[in-house]
Amino acid sequence: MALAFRNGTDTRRHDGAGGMSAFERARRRLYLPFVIPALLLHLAFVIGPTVAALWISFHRWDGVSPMEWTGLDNYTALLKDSTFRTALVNTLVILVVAGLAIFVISFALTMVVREMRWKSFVRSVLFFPHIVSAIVLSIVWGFIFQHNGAVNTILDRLFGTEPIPWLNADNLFIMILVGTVWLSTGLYVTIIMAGVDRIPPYFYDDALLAGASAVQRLRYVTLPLSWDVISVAAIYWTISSLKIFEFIYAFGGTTNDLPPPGVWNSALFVYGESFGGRSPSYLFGYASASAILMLVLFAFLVVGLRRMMRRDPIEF
Amino acid sequence: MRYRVRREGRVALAFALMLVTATAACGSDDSAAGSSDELTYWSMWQEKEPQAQVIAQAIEAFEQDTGITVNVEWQGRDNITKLLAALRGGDVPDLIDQQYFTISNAIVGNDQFTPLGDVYDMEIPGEDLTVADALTDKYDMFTTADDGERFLVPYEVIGYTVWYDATALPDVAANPPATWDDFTALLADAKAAGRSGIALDADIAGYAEYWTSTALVRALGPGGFNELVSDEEAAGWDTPEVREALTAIEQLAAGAHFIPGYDSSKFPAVQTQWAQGDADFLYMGSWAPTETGEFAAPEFEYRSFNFPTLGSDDSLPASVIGFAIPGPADGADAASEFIAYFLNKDRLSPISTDAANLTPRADIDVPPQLADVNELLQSKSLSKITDGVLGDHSDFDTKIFQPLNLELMTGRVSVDEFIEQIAAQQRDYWENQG
Repeated sequence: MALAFRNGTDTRRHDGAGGMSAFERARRRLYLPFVIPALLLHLAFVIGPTVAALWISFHRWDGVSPMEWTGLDNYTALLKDSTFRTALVNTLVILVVAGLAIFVISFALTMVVREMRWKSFVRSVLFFPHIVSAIVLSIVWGFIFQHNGAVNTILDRLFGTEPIPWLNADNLFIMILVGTVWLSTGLYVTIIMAGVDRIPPYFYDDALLAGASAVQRLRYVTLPLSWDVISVAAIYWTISSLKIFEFIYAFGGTTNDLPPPGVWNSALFVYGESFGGRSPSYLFGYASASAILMLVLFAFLVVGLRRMMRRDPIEF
Repeated sequence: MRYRVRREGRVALAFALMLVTATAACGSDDSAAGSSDELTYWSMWQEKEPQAQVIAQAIEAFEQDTGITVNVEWQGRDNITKLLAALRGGDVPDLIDQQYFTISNAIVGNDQFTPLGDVYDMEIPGEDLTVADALTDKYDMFTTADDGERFLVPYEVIGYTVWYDATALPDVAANPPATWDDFTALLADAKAAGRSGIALDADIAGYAEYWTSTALVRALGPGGFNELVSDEEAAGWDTPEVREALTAIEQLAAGAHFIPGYDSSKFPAVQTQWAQGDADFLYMGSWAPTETGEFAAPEFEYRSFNFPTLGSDDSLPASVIGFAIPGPADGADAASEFIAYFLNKDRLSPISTDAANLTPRADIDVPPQLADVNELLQSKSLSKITDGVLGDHSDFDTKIFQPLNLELMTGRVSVDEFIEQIAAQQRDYWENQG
């Protein structure tokens, strides 16, 4: 058994050019040609629009007329906007509640599936919802859970229960949370299982011989040895949870109509205040301000999460 | 109706596109763009929709008759959103179409439209009358900007009425309800007979809004609801007329007159149930028969009546779909020619005969299932659906009025709570507008 804690600071080389091999120097020279195309694309399609959004956020702008400078007005108005506050809370609830559920279920499934015979088949089945378009799934989800849908019909046949209003205003957001968990879990099972698969079986054999229970095996073997994968997955979830859009849009809304503002997350808010709805608001400055606020908030969250999840890497 | 694919990050992409296209436009030479022998048309219809097929026929004939090429793109309902991005880039279409408020909202307030007064003066090819002659001035309220400029030429008219099956409800057909009391008596009859009174797909907040906004227009007169929400002090909500209208709506939920599951179904489940006879009434635009027809029994007879009165107003809530020309369009002349060409009686008639919708020309026969709506269009004064609030104050409408209205219509808030909350939120809203 070989376990070694690697000192993180050792991984970066600070050698002067004199200490470099010819191969290393050649690699350095190739660095720029490889990076520049990606950097240019990134500048044009990510950094540029982000800077533009920041600039737009200080204006009142309908997308066409000249922009009217309003300073921080959009930001102060946002803080007083109850729809924005709801969208913010919904975004954080999706991040935390759905995130916790996804990781707990993913771990549970990983533990079960890794010891199954048809492991790869089951893994594919679990991954399936992630491949299918969120819009298609949300439509199916909507029809299954509506008043006269399959779920209420089955419940009625089996237990004679009255139809449960799964999709009314009280329950719609909960259904969105459940749907989001269902859509995303397969992906995280796959990521976490890839990390767990790397753990040599003799650690588990050893733990079993030592009399470790399943929970102890999870705590002392699986978690520490797949921690780097988990932390990457957690950050990936944080970022992707901010961008969840199609599922809420198609599940809560219709052809021309936005979902009710009570279930908007920040992505829906940006869309609703700019292009969305039967009669769009075209409030590009306001929408940009909300996008910038969320960008800042999530940047803090990601940095905080990285710090929180930082561990000395373990080599095995 | 179809779900349109929305992609996450669309806003970021749009900004990127705007940035890139704006940059590109700065350095490009626009002089080569457009000519009078061709025009680009971004249609609100998808290619397979009946209206698209009618327009496509007209385009073919127009190209043959005039030698002008029409580059049509069947963009669907997103066409105006795309127009907005194009207006930044400079490569705008010459002709667009949509409901009046969608176009007004996008290009009238910011003066990005071509005034169409000249088009109204044009003679319709093949007929001895002008576009203005062919259209009644009843539709001016939908086609004219505040300063009197025309921004739209309508080719389809929508009337909003309360639909029912005359085969199942012969008494209603013989004596349609005129007042709210007449109407609630019918609802009580339905309930006593074990039927549901009203079908409503409440997941479309705009459909639920039709009920309350029309009730408010009935109580306050056309323009009254719009004025109510335009008031920064939100002073008008706590008045006897408004209370009466809101109470009427509240009673629909309290009396359990809506079909079960109306607040927890997915469109179009409930309107389909209505077509199958599970509820008596459906308040809907004149597209109702085409949208529900395939689910209705063969003997189903589409009839409708005007929204019942709650005071003296008996205007017909309506809307129009029409053509507009964006301000910077290079092919405005060719687009104008096409508009006048399409308004010809023979070419416009298939909107009625093939697409089963109403046209703005009174001399075109109407589909039998729309006879009642047409009669109302001719005989009543018109008001804008939602009193124009959806177009004029869309942010307020979407974020404040529609959600609160749904709460009222599902029995979650009382009239008192509704008034208190909407007045407070309306004041905040206007304060935030600076």
